[in-house]
Amino acid sequence: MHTEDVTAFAGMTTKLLLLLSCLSNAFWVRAAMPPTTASETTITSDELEILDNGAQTVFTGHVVLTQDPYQLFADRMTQIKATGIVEAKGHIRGTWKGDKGERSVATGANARYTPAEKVTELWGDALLTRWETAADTQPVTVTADHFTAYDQDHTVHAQGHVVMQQPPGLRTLSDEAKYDRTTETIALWGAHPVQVHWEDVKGAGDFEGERAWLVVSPKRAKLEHNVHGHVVPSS
Amino acid sequence: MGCQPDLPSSTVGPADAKAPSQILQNFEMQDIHSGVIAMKLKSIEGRMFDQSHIADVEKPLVTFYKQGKVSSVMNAPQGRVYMQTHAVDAWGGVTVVNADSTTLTTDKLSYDPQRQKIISKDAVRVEKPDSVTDGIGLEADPDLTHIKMGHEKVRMTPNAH
Repeated sequence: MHTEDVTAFAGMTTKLLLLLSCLSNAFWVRAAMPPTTASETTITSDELEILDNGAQTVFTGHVVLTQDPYQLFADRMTQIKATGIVEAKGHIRGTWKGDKGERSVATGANARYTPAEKVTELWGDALLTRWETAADTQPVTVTADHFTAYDQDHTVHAQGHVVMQQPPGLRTLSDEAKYDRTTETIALWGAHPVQVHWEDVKGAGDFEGERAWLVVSPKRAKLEHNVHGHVVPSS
Repeated sequence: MGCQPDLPSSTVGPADAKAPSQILQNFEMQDIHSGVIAMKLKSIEGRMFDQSHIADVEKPLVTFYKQGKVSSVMNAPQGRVYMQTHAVDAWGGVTVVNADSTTLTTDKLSYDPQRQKIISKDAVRVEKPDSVTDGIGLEADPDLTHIKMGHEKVRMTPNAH
């Protein structure tokens, strides 16, 4: 057993953290939450149905929720007043734009926010994408079967077929990943080995290990337990 | 359904078809289903047209009931009552206020007594303490507990949740 630094991989960590924090912001369900700023929240859709004096509210067709700088699109959105639970279904697209041109987009088929536990979930072809600047052409992307953001402990858990990548040549595969905003670390693990691949002008590398850890500051990444791999220098 | 005009005074109108058959002061009509009142309309003046079975009413005040209790109140500058069905059209700036102070405003609104729904095809606004919703077209229970609205925009009032 040994530990292998994968420094090239660490370069994408900052972008990745920002990307995952986008999910933890739960921007797509801000309507259910008390606004944290004075900015107005608006929702538009083709049809609104309020049932039982607001016990349930259903937005259907081209739903757009806006609270600057967040925006959410969906085919349908439902809120249960008693629990505060908000569910969105169909062509979900959540966006966030920063002052400096950076932006994040989360897409998926289903999403749910449970305010009692402050838990946000996104699943069904779930994809997170993060551009560092308006001119960024190589965004970081993360796909997983299911994303769960826990606001209270500041973590985001990605489960099932977790793939993080940034063009032109960085990619990780794992069964699970967990981002901890407090420690600014990402842990990758699962029943199958964590795989890390990178390519640059100096060559290409492929490594496997039982677990991987990514730290933002100082930028560092490591694989642990039964690590093996190979590097192919450019000729 | 039953119609119980309260007619403290009345004036027989001219025979001209365009003129009302009768002009009734303090016009009142009730819509009763299975012995339970669903709606009561009051107006300072009702112009009745016997041939077409309608009455045009000035400043109608419509009180809706649910299980015998007042559930909401509708005001409008103008209205029309269909005497055979007890359907009501109101226009000119209609407001409906329910017990929770939820307020619906629109230019034109109809009451369908058979379905016991209020309906509008025009621009509508629903104001609640925590939100303002604008839309096009509405179908709702008169007490505004169940509302369907089209092409709406909901504005959440900041920090009002």
